[in-house]
Amino acid sequence: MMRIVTASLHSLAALTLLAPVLLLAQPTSSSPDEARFREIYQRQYNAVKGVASDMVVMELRDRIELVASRGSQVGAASNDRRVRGFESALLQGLQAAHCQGATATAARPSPAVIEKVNSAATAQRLRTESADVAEVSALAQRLLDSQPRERWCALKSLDDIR
Amino acid sequence: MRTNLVRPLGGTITLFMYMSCAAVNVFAQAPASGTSIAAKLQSAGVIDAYFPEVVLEVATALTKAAPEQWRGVQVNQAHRAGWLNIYTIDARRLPDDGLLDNEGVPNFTPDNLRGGALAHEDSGTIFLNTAMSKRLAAATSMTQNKVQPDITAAIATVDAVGLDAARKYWDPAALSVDTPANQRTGWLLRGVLAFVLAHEMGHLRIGHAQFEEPDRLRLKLTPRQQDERRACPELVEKEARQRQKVELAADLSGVTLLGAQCRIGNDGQLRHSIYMLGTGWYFLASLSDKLIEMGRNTDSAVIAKALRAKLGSQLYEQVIAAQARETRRGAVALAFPLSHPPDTARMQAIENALKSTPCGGGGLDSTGAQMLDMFRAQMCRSLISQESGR
Repeated sequence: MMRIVTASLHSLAALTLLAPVLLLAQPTSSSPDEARFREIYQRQYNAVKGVASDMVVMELRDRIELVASRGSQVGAASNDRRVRGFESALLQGLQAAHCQGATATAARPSPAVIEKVNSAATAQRLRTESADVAEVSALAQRLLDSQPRERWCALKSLDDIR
Repeated sequence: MRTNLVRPLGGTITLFMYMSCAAVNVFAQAPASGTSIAAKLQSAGVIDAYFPEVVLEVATALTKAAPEQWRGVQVNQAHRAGWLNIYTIDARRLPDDGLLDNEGVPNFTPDNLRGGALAHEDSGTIFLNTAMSKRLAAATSMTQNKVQPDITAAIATVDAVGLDAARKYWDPAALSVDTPANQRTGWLLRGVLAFVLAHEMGHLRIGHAQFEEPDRLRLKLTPRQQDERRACPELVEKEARQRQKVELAADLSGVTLLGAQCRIGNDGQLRHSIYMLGTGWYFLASLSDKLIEMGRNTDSAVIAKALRAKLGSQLYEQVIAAQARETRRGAVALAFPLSHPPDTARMQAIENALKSTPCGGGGLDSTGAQMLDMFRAQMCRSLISQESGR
């Protein structure tokens, strides 16, 4: 039987070869330290300065996948559905905030962006930490900054960002 | 010769019912302080006593390899400090918000328990998701009864019909009938359970391990390269690399429990063999899961052809084609999750570590893993050397 299991493992391994916040929105007794939040936000915002927008989208997806998969689990389960749900909710939220006449605030971090990040996380039942919200808000802000308003408002998906 | 290891998975229904009732009684008497986890699980109705006697038997055997670590094992009982506390829960019944947030167990949601098991280091607790146990039990039974001889196809079949419709393949009463197929199913599932528990017990043993990692490299990549870079540690987030190291450490800590079994008790050699067999079976199922997800996320004709051959056209259409993603972002990322090392690398590390244990290697063949790693390294070198960064 071990030979059968081993042979099957071989076959599957070969196949894989072929494929080459609520924390801020909810004031609590343990509300995040604002200075640390700003520091993380700023570090991430600067780290992706000059990085192509589609790569920023990729980083945002990675960050959400990491949040979604936290915990000492025996195996990795796909969180693709939650990642896609998050980015869809985030895009809709940011479009609602920026495409309906309101002028974008110059404040960094932007409270509106933070709020939309938190809302999207809540919609996907993602338990974000303060550092996650800071990083994702910085990435979302970079994406917003990278696109002309008309283009941003016409986006159907973050896949369309190039 | 038959020992308790070679009987079909399950034991008696009487024992099964006794364990369930015992758990209820203890919960009723449990003081509120250290037992809020158990009480909450009980009041939420998520405890699912699926073969608790087997869980107890396997966990007890594993703890004997680290007698200094735990005073004892209990399954679905009121929490006891210093003991290994295991709860078998049906994650499908969990509410979407974290049921155990107030108990300090974050992410206790159906989504986060899809991996099959979860350890909570602070309370010394392991949660086993019986929905995933039943899924694998059904698929394994299908393979051993030749209903669906290929494990990937069997898993796909269970997913296609749903767990309830596949009940006859995971039902304790059906699996307890003494047949050769049920015996083989029992060995495989006991072995899988041993690996899962050993890994989670490994988490409890190492606690909140920390690993320092440098920041990621940021390059300009095409969409295809964005998928491929997931195989390259340098190109993924620091947290991903840290967590992969923790998971690997949990595997290796678990190996010390598995690799001592041959010396524990009169049936140690047989138990060790079964646990090694199940460890291989676990990874076979895990690779199958990933392969199915890869099929839904790639335009690769090669993968489609291989999966169609594995599943058959009808099942392929039902499980892969009908559930294909609208935007397919590639298959590589699914084989290289952020949270865990790739399965092939885990197998390789586990086999290497087993060789240093009293019982020796487990027979996990890592030749494929070595070849995969060669291809991976070559691809990563090519990605990183393109110098088209920022």
